[in-house]
Amino acid sequence: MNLNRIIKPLLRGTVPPPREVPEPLLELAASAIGLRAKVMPLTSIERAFAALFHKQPDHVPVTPLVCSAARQIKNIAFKDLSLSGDMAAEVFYAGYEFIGGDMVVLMLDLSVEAADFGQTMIFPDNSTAHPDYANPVIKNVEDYERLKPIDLKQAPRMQEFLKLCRIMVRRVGLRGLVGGFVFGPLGVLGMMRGAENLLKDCLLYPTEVRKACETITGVLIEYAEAQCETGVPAIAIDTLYASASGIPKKVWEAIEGPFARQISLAIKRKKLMVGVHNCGHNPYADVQLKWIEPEVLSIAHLPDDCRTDHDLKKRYGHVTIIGHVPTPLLIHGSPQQVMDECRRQIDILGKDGGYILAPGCEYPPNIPLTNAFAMIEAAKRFG
Amino acid sequence: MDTKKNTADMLGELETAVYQGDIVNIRDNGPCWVRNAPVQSVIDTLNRAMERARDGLKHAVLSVPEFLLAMDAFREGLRLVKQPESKARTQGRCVLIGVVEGEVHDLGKNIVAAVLEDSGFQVINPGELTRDRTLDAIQEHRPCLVALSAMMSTCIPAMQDTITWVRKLHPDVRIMVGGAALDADLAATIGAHGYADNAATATDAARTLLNGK
Repeated sequence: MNLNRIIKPLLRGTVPPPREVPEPLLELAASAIGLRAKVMPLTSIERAFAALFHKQPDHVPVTPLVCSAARQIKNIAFKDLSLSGDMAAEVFYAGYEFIGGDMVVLMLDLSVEAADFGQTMIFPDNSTAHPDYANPVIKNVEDYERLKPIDLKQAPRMQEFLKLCRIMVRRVGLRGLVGGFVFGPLGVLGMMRGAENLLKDCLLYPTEVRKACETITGVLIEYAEAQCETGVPAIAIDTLYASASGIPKKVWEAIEGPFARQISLAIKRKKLMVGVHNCGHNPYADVQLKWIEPEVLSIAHLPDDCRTDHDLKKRYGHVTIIGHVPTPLLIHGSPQQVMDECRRQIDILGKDGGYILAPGCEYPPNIPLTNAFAMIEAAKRFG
Repeated sequence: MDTKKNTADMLGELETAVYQGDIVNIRDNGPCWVRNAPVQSVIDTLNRAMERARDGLKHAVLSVPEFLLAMDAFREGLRLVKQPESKARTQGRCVLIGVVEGEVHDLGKNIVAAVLEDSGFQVINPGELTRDRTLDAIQEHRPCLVALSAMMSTCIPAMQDTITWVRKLHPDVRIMVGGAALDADLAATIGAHGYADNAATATDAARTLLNGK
């Protein structure tokens, strides 16, 4: 245990790297919090901590994943949110302050890493940044091997994201958890090749795809380590392609699995917690857990080996599950319908901790924020 | 007799190659496989292979990329008999399909288009369907079904706007929607007649919608 790495952040008023504390001490602290939860309300940090260590909190922690949707509060444009760490921090902090919740996951958009690898981006006025698919970096199979690593210090989008992390860690302090975010190497490649071509290439040219993943992963490890240094206590790795929306399970294991593991290990070496986020259909939770060994699993849909939420809790309840209120429900549902769905999920997934209520993916950017409040309310009422 | 048997065997190999998305095999051996076969037999073989591929996708025997490769192999097979795709397909009822304005993810839409074609629909797939482009295309092609796709929730207002105008100006045209941003309830809320959860169920959803038409 490196006491310095625990005390210094605490003196600064921020959360220390959780895994810096020996496991028995963490367990003890979690048990004490679990006992305290029976008699008095917990703080957000305590609540999340209890859930992460599978103790029953006072109520389930909640994060409505209001990311770019919080632009509405500050009237900040999508483009400014994407390109400026300061603006992004304004947005995320406004979302946290205005709506609440026990943690903030800094899901900015999925174009950050690919943009720094040279992918041209389009910044629509009313939607999230996305690649210009007419002008991909990877134009043919040969380009996979031509992809060169980039210098993180010279990577403007990633540097702005790091700034976002630093500001949010400082501003949220000990009031809540702030999570970093890394798009997995296949996801980054998908942005630079186009999903359809990448999916086919994974089957036809796995060696070439793997080579590009290797190049990207080197940068992503450095990026993840830099996020660790900003003071975030946890980082989520997005492995979208490990799902029925992506490539076959065995192919994912052969291509991205080992690289996702490397990123995870780099985060763990810094004593942070690792999460997996996957909003694909029927995510392959089994192999993602096998390769990444996360503490947290954030999903939008049931894994391919689960038919019900009961199955999900039974099979994967040993990690903390984040999710999985359907985002379409947030768009069309009334607050009452959203609260009903939250209650249903809390009843099944929230027993004995190990559950954080959240949407399956980012709160839809352009809808009213009412249903984010409904989620917060549901956690308090039914959690 | 021997020639007939050989031709049947060879078309069997073509069918397998298409189902397996084995384009290289088709390029290398396809001309030999189809040499003695009537054009229509080759086309029937290709369609049979795609029917199997669609079934494989439906029952999760084939993954999305495997189905995409089968689609490519089907097109490669058509080159053997120098047939355009439109002539090889059964020309059934017309479906206009596209992603809504602002949507850049067209993978799911393209798979649904292929699946519908395999199922005997005549598919018009112009890409992005703005409201005006949708209305123009309806005038031009007279589809009985418009299929709209959106992956990003930010595109839902554009989808709703298009649906509103299609319903207003072409009340006889049915509208089906799908994509990651939607579910059946949201589809109904924005005025669609039907919803397809994924490519594998798109045909059944389309047929149900058009039942009796």
